[in-house]
Amino acid sequence: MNFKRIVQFVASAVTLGNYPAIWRGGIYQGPLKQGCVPILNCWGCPLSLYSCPIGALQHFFNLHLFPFYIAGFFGAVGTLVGRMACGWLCPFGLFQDLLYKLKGFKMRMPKFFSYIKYVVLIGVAGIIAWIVGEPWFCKLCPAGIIEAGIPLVLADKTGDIKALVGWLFLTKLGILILVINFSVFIKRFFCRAFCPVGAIYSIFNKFSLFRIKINKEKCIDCDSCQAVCPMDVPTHNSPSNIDCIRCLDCVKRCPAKAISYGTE
Amino acid sequence: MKRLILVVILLVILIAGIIYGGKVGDFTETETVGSVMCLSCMGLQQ
Repeated sequence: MNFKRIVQFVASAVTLGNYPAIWRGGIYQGPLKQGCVPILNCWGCPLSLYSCPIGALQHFFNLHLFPFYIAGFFGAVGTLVGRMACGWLCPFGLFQDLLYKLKGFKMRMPKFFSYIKYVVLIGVAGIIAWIVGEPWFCKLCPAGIIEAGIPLVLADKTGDIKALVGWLFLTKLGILILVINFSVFIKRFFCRAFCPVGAIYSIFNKFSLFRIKINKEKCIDCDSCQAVCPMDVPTHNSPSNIDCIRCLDCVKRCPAKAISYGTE
Repeated sequence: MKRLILVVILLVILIAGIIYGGKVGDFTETETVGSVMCLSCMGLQQ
C-alpha cells in the first residue's frame, strides 16, 4: 500500500471516528461539529465527528445568510492547496478509487461532464437551497446515503426509521447505485462530474500556493501521467487542470522526471 | 514573489472572514445544525 492510500485510510478513520455510535446509536453532538472537514462528509453519519462544508453552506443559504465562515474556509483551503484534499482526505474519493480497481471494462468520461459539477454547485447547492430553504444537494447526495441513510435504516431496531423510507430514499439509493456502477468503469466519476466541494476547490487550482510543475524540456509526451492519474488528467498538458487533485501519483510515475511540485 | 504576496493577502482576507463568521455566530450555528439528525436530509421523509 502506498503512502497516499495510507493517508486516505487514516483521514477516513479520523473523519468518521465517532466509534461509540456503533453500540450506542445516534450521532455525535459536540463542539467538534463546529469544525468542517475540507471534504464531502455527511454530518448525519453516526460515525461523523465533524461538519460537512457543503451541508453547512446550504444551511446558511437556507437561512438567507452569507456564509462568512464556510466561504473563508473553502477559500483558505483552496488558496493553499487547491483540490488536494479531494486526493488525500476524502472517504468517498477513496471509495471510488477502490471501486475503479475492480477488474472489468474501463472507459473515459466525456470532457463536458466535468462542468456538470458547477451546475450542481450553483444550481442545487446554491440557488435551489436559497429559494426552497432546504438542502437539496444533501437530499440527493450519494455519500450521505452510504454514510448515514443506509446505516441508520439497518441499525433501526424499533422500525420507526424504516417506516420513513419512501421515494426520496429510493431516489437517493438509485443515485448511489448509479455512481457505484459508473465508478467501476470511470475514474472517480462522482468527483469529476458532480461533486460541489470539488467544484469550489477546482476554481483555486489555477493560482493555489501548492502547484504541479512541468518541465517541458524533459517531457516526452508519453501520457504516463494521465494513465496513472485517478482523475484522468493529462498533467503534462494541463498541470493546473480543474480536476487535478494533487495526489502526486503522476510525479512518482513520470519516467522522464518532468513533473514536480512546489509553491513557485 | 508577486504571486506569494497576493496569496498571503487573500489568505488574510479569508481568515478574517472565518474569524468574523465566528463572531457573528457561524461556528455555533454550524454545531447546532450538525448535531441534529436531519432525517429528511438522509432521504427519510417524515
